[in-house]
Amino acid sequence: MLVPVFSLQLNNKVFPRTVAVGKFNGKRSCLVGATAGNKVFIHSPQDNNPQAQQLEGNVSLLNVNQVVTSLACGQLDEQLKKDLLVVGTNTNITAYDIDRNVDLFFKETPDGAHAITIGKWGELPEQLAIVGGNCSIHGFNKKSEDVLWTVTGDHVSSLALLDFNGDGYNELVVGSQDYDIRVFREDQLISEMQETETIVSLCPLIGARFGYALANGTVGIYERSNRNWRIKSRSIAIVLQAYDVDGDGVDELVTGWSNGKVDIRSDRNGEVIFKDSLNSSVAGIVKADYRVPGENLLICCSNEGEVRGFKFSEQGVNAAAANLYKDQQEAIRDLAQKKQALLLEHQNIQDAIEKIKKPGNEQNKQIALDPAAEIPANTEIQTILTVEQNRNDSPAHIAIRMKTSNHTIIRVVTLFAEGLFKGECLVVHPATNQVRENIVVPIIPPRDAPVDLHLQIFVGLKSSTLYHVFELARPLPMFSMYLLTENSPEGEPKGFISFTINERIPRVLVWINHHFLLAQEYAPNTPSLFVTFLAVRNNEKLIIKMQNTGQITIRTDDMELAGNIVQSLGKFLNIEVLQTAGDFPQELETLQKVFSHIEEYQTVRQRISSDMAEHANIIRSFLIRAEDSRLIGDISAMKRHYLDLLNLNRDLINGYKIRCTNHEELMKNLRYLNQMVQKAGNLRIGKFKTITINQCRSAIKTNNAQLLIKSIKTGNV
Amino acid sequence: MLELQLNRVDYLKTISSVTQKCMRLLPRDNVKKDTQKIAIGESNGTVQLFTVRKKETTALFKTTPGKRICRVELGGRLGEISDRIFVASENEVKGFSKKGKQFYTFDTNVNDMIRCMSILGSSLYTCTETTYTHYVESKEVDTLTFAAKLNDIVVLPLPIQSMPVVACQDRLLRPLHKSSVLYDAEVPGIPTTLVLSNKTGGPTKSEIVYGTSDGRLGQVEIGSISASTKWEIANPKHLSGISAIDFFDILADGVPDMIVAREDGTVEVFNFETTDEPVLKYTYNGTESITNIEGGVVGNPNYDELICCTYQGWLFGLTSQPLQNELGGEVVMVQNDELKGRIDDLKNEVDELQRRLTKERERYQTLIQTDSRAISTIREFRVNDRFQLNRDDATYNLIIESEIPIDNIILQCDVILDVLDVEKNSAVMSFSDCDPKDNNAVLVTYRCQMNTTRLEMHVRTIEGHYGTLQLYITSKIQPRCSMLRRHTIKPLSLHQRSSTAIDPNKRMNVMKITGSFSYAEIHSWIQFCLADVPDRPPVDKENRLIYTNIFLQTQLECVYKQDEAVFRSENVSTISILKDVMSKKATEKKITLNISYELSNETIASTLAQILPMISYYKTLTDQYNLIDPLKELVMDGSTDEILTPEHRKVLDNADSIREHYKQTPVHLNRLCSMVADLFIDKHKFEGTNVKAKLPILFDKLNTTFTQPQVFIDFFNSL
Repeated sequence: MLVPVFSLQLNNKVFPRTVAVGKFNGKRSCLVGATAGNKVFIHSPQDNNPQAQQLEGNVSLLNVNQVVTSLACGQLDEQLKKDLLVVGTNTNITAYDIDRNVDLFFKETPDGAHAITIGKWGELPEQLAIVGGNCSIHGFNKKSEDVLWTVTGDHVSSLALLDFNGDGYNELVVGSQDYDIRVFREDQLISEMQETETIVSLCPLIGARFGYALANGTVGIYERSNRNWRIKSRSIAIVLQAYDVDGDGVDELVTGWSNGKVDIRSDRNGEVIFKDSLNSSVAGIVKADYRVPGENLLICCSNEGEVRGFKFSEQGVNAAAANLYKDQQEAIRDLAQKKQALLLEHQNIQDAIEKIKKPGNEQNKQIALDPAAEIPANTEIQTILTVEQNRNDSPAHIAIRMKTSNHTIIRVVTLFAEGLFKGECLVVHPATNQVRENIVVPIIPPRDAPVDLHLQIFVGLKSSTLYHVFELARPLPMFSMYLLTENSPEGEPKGFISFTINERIPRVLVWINHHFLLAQEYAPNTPSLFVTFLAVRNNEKLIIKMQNTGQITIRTDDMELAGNIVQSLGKFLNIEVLQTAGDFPQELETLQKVFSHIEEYQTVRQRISSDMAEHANIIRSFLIRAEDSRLIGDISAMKRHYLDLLNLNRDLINGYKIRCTNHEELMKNLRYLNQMVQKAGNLRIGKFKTITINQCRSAIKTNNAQLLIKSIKTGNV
Repeated sequence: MLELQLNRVDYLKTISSVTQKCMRLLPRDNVKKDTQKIAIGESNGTVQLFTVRKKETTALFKTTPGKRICRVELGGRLGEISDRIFVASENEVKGFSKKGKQFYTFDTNVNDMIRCMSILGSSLYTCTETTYTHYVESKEVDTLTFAAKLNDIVVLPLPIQSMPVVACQDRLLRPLHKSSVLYDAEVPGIPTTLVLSNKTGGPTKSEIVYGTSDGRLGQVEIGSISASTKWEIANPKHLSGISAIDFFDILADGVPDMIVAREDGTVEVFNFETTDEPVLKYTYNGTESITNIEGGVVGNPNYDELICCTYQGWLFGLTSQPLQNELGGEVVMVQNDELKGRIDDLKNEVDELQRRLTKERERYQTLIQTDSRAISTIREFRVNDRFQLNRDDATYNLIIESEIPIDNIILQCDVILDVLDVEKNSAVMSFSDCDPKDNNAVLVTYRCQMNTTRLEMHVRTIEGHYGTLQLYITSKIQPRCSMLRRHTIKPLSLHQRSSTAIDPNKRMNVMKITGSFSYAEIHSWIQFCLADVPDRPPVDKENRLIYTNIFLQTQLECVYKQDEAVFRSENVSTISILKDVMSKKATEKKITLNISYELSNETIASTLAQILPMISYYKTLTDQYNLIDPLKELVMDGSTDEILTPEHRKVLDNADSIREHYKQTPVHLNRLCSMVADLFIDKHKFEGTNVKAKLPILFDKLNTTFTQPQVFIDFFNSL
C-alpha cells in the first residue's frame, strides 16, 4: 500500500501535462513544470529530516517567454551523466543544462512541440528528444540534428517509448488527435489502433503493456495491439504514470483526474487498488527518489501547485487485517446486492411462467401489487439500416428503422455508440402525438470507422408510464456512408489507384459485403468485378474494379478514402506488403499550390523578421535622440522624435499582425502537406509505406514539388 | 478535544425499501448487559423485531408482507417504558408487543394513507396528506384539514396538555390546540423531519429540532403564543436534505449529541460542548441515502453505536468499537475468517441462483414460443423522486432513489433548462442533440456505474418557460423495464410561498382580471402558475396568496374570488408572465377575460434598484476572480506586493475566498442580466412596443453604469 510521506505547496500554478522530474546535477531529483507567465518552475528539495511531513525546498523560475506546450527531462547527452531539460513551445524546442545554466541547443520547429519524450528509439544509437508536433514526429539528438522524421495523421497529443514487439528495442507509441494510436519502429509504422477520442496520455508499463487515456474520460491498458481493459469516468484523465503499489514487482497504472482524484488500478483488470484526492485538478504525476536516494516516490502535483508524495510500504499485520476487513465487508455488500437482484429476477420470471401456464388466475396473487404493464410476450423489434442520400431537409445519413411486431409502440430509443455523437449517446424521443409502432433514428458517422451500436428501445402502450426495454446491438461497417448504385460511365472520378493482389474475386466480394452497408448480399454474376458506390457525404463516386488476374483499380478523387480501402482490404486479406500506383489530379493540384504557398509564406516570414530587426534598431536610435533632446531642453524635437517612435511602433504592431496571420497560414499549409504525405503512405502497405513516406520527406527537404508528386503517385522514384 | 472514530458494521439487508421513521430501537431492559432490539417496517409490509448477537441477527418476530409500512413508533402506558411497537400501514394502525403478538388494530376508515403518526399514552395522532386527526382510545377527538401537505408531526409532552406540532410543506410549523392552529412559525426551508430536542423536548418540554429538504437544521421553542428560534444551521455547502435526526451521547461527554443523517448518506455528529449552538464534530460519508438513524447499543453491550438504515434497506451500525485492539488485531483477524466464510456462502448462493435463473429463462423462452397469447408483464419498482427548489442558489434539485440498481436515466424536457453537473454523482452524463420538431428542448442521459441506486440532478429554470420534465428510469435487472416520472415546471418557478405580508407603502404594479370564471377555475389557473398552491380552493369565498421570488426577493400577491382576480407585484416580468398564462388558460376554456393594469414606473426603478446592487456585486466578484491569476503572476518573481495598488493587494489577500465564492455562484450574473432584459422587454410589451432590437444598447449601458443605479434606471426608462 501507499503511505503519504510529504506534502508541499509550490505557490505557483502548474499547467497540466507539463510536469517532469530530473537530476540536473546528476544526483538530486528536482521537480519541474510549466507555470503561469510562460515560465518553468524548478523545485529542488532540501536535505532535511526524512520524517517531516512538510518538505522544504526552494523554487526557482526559468523564463521561456513563449507558451510552454510540453516539457521533458532526460539524459540527452549521455556523456554529461546528468539530466537535461527540454522545453517545447509552439515554434521551437530548447534544451537546457540547468546545472550550468546554459542552453545546449535551440531549434526551430515550425510544426510545434505538443509532446516530448526522451530516450532511445529503435536501433538508433543515441538518446533522442522525440518531439511530436503538427502531424509530424522529429527525433533530435544532442547536437539538435534531426535524425529521424516521420508523419502521423493529426496533431500529436501524447508519446511513449516502449518495447512493443519484444525485439529488445524501443518502439514509439504515438497518440494523436485523429483518435489513433500508432506504433513506429523507427520510421516504420508497425501497428495502428483506433480509439474514440483524442489520446491525451500514454504510459509504458511492463513489457509490451501500456496505459492510455482519452479526452472523454476513458482510461485503459493495451497489451501490444489488444486492449486488456478500459473504464470510462465522468471526469477526464489528465496524466498516467506507472507505479508498483502492491510490491509484486509489476507496475500498476496511476491515473490523475481532472477532479483532483488520483487512483491506482490493477494492470490486469482495472480494479481500483488505491485512491486519494488532491484539492484541484491533477496536473502531473511523476516517479522519483525525491527524498531518500534510491527510494522511488510517487509524486502528484495539482493545478494549484499542491504536491503530495507517497511511498510504498509493506503493511503491518494489523492494518492489513483492518483493510481486509473493510474490503470483505464491501464484498459482502456487493454480493448481497447481487443476490437480491437475482432473487427479484427469479421472482419475475417465475411469475411470468406461472402466468402463461394459468392465465386469468390473478386474484390469488399477493395483495401488495405494484402497478404493472403488459405487452405480448412475443413482441419483437425489427431493425433495418439504410443509407439515405442528402435531401432538401435532411443531410445524408444512415437511418436505423425500427418497428415492433404488433400494436405496441416505441416511446424512446437511446443509442450508445462511441465517436458518433458529441456525447456518448443519442436519444430519440418523439413528441407525444407522434409516438408510433415504428421509429427512425438518423446517424451521421463523421468518418469511416467500424462502430458498434448499442440500442435500448422502450416499448409499451400509448399513455403507459412503464416500458419494456429491449436491448439490441448492431455493428456498423466501416464504409457505411456509401450507397450501392448502378454502374455508369458518366462522372467517373479522375483519381485512381491500382494494384495487383494474389487473391480471387469472391474473397474481395466477401470483403465488400462485410465492410459496406448493403440492403442485401452483393453477389454479381459476372466474371470480373465492377461495382459503383456513391459517397453520400459529398455525392461523389467510388468505383471498385477487379479483373480475374487479380488486378484491382479503385477510382475515387478522395485520396484518404483510397488509402482507407487499401488498408482495410489489406488487413482483411492478410496482405503484408503492397505496392500501388495511382493518380489523384485534384488533390495533387492543390498540393502543388500549397507547396508554392509554403515557399511564399516562408519568404514573407523571413522578410518580416528582418524588417522587425531593422525597426528595433531604429527604435533604439529614436529613443536615444528623443531622450537627448529632452536633456538639452529641445522639447519640440523631443516631441517629433517621440511621434516618430509612435508611428514606428504602430508599424511594428502591424508587422506583428501580418506575421501572425502569415504564421497561421503557414501552419495550415504545413499541416496539409504532412497529411498528404501520411495519406500517400496509407496507399501502400508494409515496407512500401515507409519507402513512400521517406521519399516524400526527402522531396520536401529538397523543396522539390515534382519529386514529391511523383513519389505520391508511384511510391518510389 | 474528543476524537470520534466510528467503524461500519453491516447487520441486515431487508427485502424492500425502508422509508423515514420506520426503524426504532427498543429501550433496553437491563442497563448492564443487554443490547437493544431493533424494530423495522418495510415498504412490502413486513414488520420485524430483532437483536444482534455476535454479528448475527436473530429475529424475534417477523410478519408476512402486506400493506406498505410508512411509520414505526413506540408507545406504552403513561409512566411505563415505551416498548410497544405501533406501525402505520396505509390506513391502518397496528400494535405489536415485543413478543410479536398483535394486540391492537385500528382502521381509520379514511381513504388516504397515513403519512405520519405519533403516539403518546393512549393518544394517537395521525396525518394523512393534508388532514390531521387525534384519536384517544381509538376514538376521534379532533381533526383539522390544511391547505398544505403535512410532512411530519411531533407531540410536545407538556405537563398539562400535550401539544402536537405539524411540519407543513409551505415552510411553516403549526402548533395545534384541539382543532385549531395556534399560530404559524416560519422556518427557512421545507421541514421534512421533526424531533423533540434531546428526545424529551428540553427543560421546558417545548423545544423541537427540525431538518429541511434543502439541508438546513434549526431549533425552535414552541411557546403558547409564539415560537422563538434558538439556533439555525444554514447550508452554504449545498449538502443534501436532512432525512433523520436523533440525540445520543456518542461522544460520551455527558451531553447528548445531535446525530443528523442526510439524504446523500452523510452522517454528522454535532456537539453542544461549550455553547447552546451545535458544533460539528464528526462526519461520515456514506454513499446510499440514509432514512433512519438512532444512537444506542446493539452489536456489543460495551460500545455505543449509531444504527443507520438506508432507503434500500441496509441496516448498519457505526460503532465506536475499534477494529483492532491494543493487543494486536486479533478481533479483526477472527472476524475476517468469519467474513470469508460468509463471502463464500454468498458466492455459492449467487452462483446457484444464476444457474437456476438461466434454466428458468430457457423454460420461459420455449413457453412463449409455443403460446402466442402469452403476456409479458413488468412491475413497477419503488423509486422515490423529489423535485425541489433550493433557496440558496435558486436551482431545482432532483433526487432519485431506487430500491434496485439503476442502469440509466433519461431526462427529457420540452422547455429550456440548464442541467448542471453534480460533483457527487458517479454517473456519466451525456447531452443528446434534440430535434425541436419532436418537442424536445433538453435530452440528457445518465449512464450509471455498478450498483447505483441514487442520483442527484440540479436544473436551473427560467421564469416564464414552463412545461414538463420527464424522467425515464431504467432498471438494471431483467426483464429490463423503464419507469416514467413527470415533474411540472411552473411558469413562476422561482417563486416560493411566504407569509411575510407586503409592505402597504411599497409601490406595486396591479393587474386585475375579470370575467365569468368560477372560483375553482381561477384557483386551478393559479395553481398551474405557482408552487405550493393547495389542490382545492379553501372554503372561504376569497383567497389570498403571497409569494416571494427567491432570486430577486420581489413579492407577489394574488387575491382572487369568483369572476375577479387581482395580482400585485413590483416586478413587471412577473405580471407579464401571469398575464400570458391567464389569457392562454382562459382561451382554452373559451372564457373572455378583461385585463386591466395599473403599472407604475416607480416599481421599475425599485426592482432595478434591487437587481443592480446584486449585478454590481457579482460583476466585481467576476472581475476580481479574473484578476487573481494575472496579479499572482506579477508578484511571482519574488517582487513584493508593494508594487500593487491597495485594492489589488486586497484581491490577492482574499484570493481563496473570492475563488470559493465565485464557484458557488457560477451564473448568477448572467441570470440577473437576463432578468433585466426580461424586465425591459416586458415593460415595453405592456406599452405595446417590441424592443428586442434595443437589447444590445441596454447591455452596453448596463456594463458601464451598473455601479450607478440611478444613471442606468434613467436610461432604462428613456429607451
